[in-house]
Amino acid sequence: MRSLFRRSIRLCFMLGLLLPGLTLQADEHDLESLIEAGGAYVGADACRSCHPTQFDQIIQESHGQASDSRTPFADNDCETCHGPGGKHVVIDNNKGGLVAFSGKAPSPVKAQNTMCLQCHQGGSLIPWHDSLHDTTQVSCSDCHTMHKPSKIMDRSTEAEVCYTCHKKIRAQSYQMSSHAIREGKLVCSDCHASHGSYGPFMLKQNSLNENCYECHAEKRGPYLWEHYPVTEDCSLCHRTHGSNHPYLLTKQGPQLCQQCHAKVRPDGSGHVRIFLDFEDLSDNKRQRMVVGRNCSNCHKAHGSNHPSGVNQLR
Amino acid sequence: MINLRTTRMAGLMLTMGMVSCSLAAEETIEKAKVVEAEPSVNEVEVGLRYLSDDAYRFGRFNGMTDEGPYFIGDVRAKEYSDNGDFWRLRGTNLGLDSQYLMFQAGTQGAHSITLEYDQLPDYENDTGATPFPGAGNTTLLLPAGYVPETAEFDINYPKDFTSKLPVDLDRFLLPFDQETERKRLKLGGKFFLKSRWELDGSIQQETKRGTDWIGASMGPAEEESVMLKTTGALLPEPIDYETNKMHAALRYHGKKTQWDFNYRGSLFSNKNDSLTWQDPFDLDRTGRLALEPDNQMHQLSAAVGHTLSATNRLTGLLSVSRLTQDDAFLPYNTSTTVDDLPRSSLDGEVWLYKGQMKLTSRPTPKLRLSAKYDYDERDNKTPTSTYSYYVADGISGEIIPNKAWPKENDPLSFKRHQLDLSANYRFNSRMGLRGGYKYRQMNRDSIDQERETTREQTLSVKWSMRMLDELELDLYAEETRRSGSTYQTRRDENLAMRTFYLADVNRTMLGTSVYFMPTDRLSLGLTGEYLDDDYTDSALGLTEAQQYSLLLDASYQISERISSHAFYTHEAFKSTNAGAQDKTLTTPDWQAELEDTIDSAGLGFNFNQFLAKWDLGADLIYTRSRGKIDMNNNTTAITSQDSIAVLDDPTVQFPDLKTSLTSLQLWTRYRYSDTISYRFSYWYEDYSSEDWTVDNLEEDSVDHLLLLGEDRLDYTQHVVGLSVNVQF
Repeated sequence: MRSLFRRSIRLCFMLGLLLPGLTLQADEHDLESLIEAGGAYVGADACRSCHPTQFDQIIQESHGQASDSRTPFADNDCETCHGPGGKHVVIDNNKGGLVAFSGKAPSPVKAQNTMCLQCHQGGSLIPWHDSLHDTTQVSCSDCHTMHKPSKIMDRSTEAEVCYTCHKKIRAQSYQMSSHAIREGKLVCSDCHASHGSYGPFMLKQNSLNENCYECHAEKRGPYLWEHYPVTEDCSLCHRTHGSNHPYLLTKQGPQLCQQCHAKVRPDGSGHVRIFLDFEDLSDNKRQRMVVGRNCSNCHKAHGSNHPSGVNQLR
Repeated sequence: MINLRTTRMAGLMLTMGMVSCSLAAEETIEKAKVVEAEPSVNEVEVGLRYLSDDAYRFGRFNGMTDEGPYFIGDVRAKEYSDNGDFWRLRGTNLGLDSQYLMFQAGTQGAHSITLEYDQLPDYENDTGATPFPGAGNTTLLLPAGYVPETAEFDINYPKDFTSKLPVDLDRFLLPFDQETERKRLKLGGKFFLKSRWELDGSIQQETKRGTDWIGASMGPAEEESVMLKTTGALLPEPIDYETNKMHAALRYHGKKTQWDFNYRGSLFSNKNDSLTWQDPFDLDRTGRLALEPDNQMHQLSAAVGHTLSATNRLTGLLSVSRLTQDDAFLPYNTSTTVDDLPRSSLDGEVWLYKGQMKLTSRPTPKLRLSAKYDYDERDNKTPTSTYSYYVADGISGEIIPNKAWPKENDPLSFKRHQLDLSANYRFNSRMGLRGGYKYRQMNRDSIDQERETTREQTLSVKWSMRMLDELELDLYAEETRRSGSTYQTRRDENLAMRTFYLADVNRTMLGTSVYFMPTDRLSLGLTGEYLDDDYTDSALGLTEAQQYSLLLDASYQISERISSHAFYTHEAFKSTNAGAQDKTLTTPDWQAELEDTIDSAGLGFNFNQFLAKWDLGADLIYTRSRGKIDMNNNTTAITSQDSIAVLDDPTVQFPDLKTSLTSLQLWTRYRYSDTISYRFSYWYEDYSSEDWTVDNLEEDSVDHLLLLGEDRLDYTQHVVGLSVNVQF
């Protein structure tokens, strides 16, 4: 295992050394190319003369605050993001090399995102490159609006933006068991880092379990008697967005538990084949493992800190 | 309740006041201008909605469970000054149990503070009942006059079980609501230091209080035939949690290099350490459960991103976390003391380590390469001891320890290595190909773990085409193989059983998505996916599983003022479980075919200015799900178990699980002026379900088990609302 670790590290470093040398040709969507394509800078007044509405809108938003040295308006105003407007102002009905983030003919995703990444590469954006949204050609403007209040930045409307692509998740939020997603009390960004993450499924924490413990800290343990699949991965038993079964379980109990447990002793004691017989509910060996909370009528699934909790019974 | 009424009354008065103001304003405005339907920067909305019926499930997460009026309160406001000073205010569901309020202020680019308050109800069921007075307490004693019945001798259970629940149990039943409520208060601050440095911090307190259910078992008195001698009871569990979180981050936003240093802390505290209850089947027996223990988590992490060149970037993360838990142990049972234990508390300690390095490169504009290595480790340093445990609390104080199997705790540690390589080549503007390889190895360090090492290899490919300007097509596939070290079946488990997440598996995933946009106004989408898991070495347990999904969606901009959308999704989950009643059987004597299907459809539209000052919108959702379990018995393999005749009866099957939900929301907005509008809304929702695990079962329907006797929570709800929106 140590050799695999070493080989992996070595591979990454070798690639790191070799790949810069493999840069064979310039990309037309590099920042330098985009700036060069626009011509000379013309200044914000020129932009405002033709686009007063957009100008008036953005100065009410965070990107339009010139007093903040980090913003576009502390630099080249509109042209910080859209590129120099020199060619644009002299060519009718042509973008003239400007980067357009919306409208009928938006610029390629790479060009749009290059402009945003000029400033936004730190913090939550560090893992953006090769994240799922990056590789699937999602542009920043698919989710964010700069000139108007952005729906993605408001908890009550954030999911609408995500549902534009993730329609299956919207349907799952209406299933009989779900998190409080459709009520707007749990939003996508409570669990997911849309700009990329270091964990699986673009989750904000390092692992799926750590993500769940953010709200379900009582399940974190460590317990005296662990239930190993619980310790390893909550999603082995639970779905996250919606389920046909209570508590977001993947299957109906006791079949859920019987995926791993057929515990039977040679003398016939222990768990037996479980089925439901409404005609004979007094068959306590079986029926009490089926109805109500089935296995959880007696067992605690998430682990036990009781010295006698070996069988997760208390 | 007083607060709710007060809130409702305040809402009514405020609404009336706003309506009066707006009527007065009407006289001063000759012609109200129609404005575009753009979101306003600042707005307040207040009003009332009225619910036609009591419906606990309808209000599960929004807090509106009872018939009657509820306040509508929503605020969104912000303001910037020329020097960058700003404040923001956001509030939703104000006045409800699900209210949220956020206030932020500061100077952009210098500093800011944020204060957030959030409430989240979880009203699960209000139809349950329990004979225990004082649900929510940590000691549950049965009331005076409660006397279990003496049962007739049963040949199946000859050694004990001579008592049952009282025949007049109904007389003692008290309502029990399964409901909890979270309240969260968060204070955060950001400080932008010179030279691209940023300091970010927050503290948060969250409480969760209420009552939930917990399963509790009693017995046995002897060390044999455990299952035959236990009783079970669903009890009210008191919930009184508090979780305090701290977060501090120091970030550097360089042009080429970015750093992100973080500390996160989470301190969980449970005010209740145990739940003691009197056995409803035998008043002489008392049992005690351990509730969730206090615990802590502290994490330090450092992330870095470095742009090597215009086309190459390196990112990495190092993280270390420490998890601890040291709640005092309870005694083995209600008849012993903590002096009998090998230690007084667990002194549980787990260290989590994570390292990640990722290199992405575009050696040419058409080619993108990525290599990522992940390392995760759970190092469980929890001390081990041998516990002479009692399976459960027993009968009349005659406790016999489970001498046969004194057990040493076996903390789980593991290490996970994962390598991801991917290449993405874009042939031209119309075609791209992505391929990937993933290797994942996990080593588990635990005596009881069935498999020490598992290895997974995955190959994936995705072909993207723009066949026409209006038509895009993606085809993708993934193939995974998992194998590992020698499988060792758990003690007392059938030798042929394979725990599915450790078992050998061949996984195939196929998918396609089509996106068609024949005009600027119309877009159509189709996505289909198929996933197949074949557990190649599993005779018992989960042997195979399939998932199917189909998604159709359409959006149509009928005109500048009318937009519409529709979708349909179908999901199916199929799997096969196999089991054996005899430990010596290596072939299954029963199989269960499980199938869950969920169909959902939605339709909606927005019509701006359908009349001069009126907007209109509608949203309809329908969801239907079915859950089937078909039992198949292999009679030739069945041994001398009882009830065989019933098992072999093909008519004895699990009923289907059924749920359906129809939700229709209609609204119209009247733009009274540039700044004032009225919103009328109607919301219809119908939910129905059939769940055989609770339907038609009373508290005493099953022998030796005390249930909660809940009813299904079907409802039909009509909600009408009227609100006024003021923009400023």
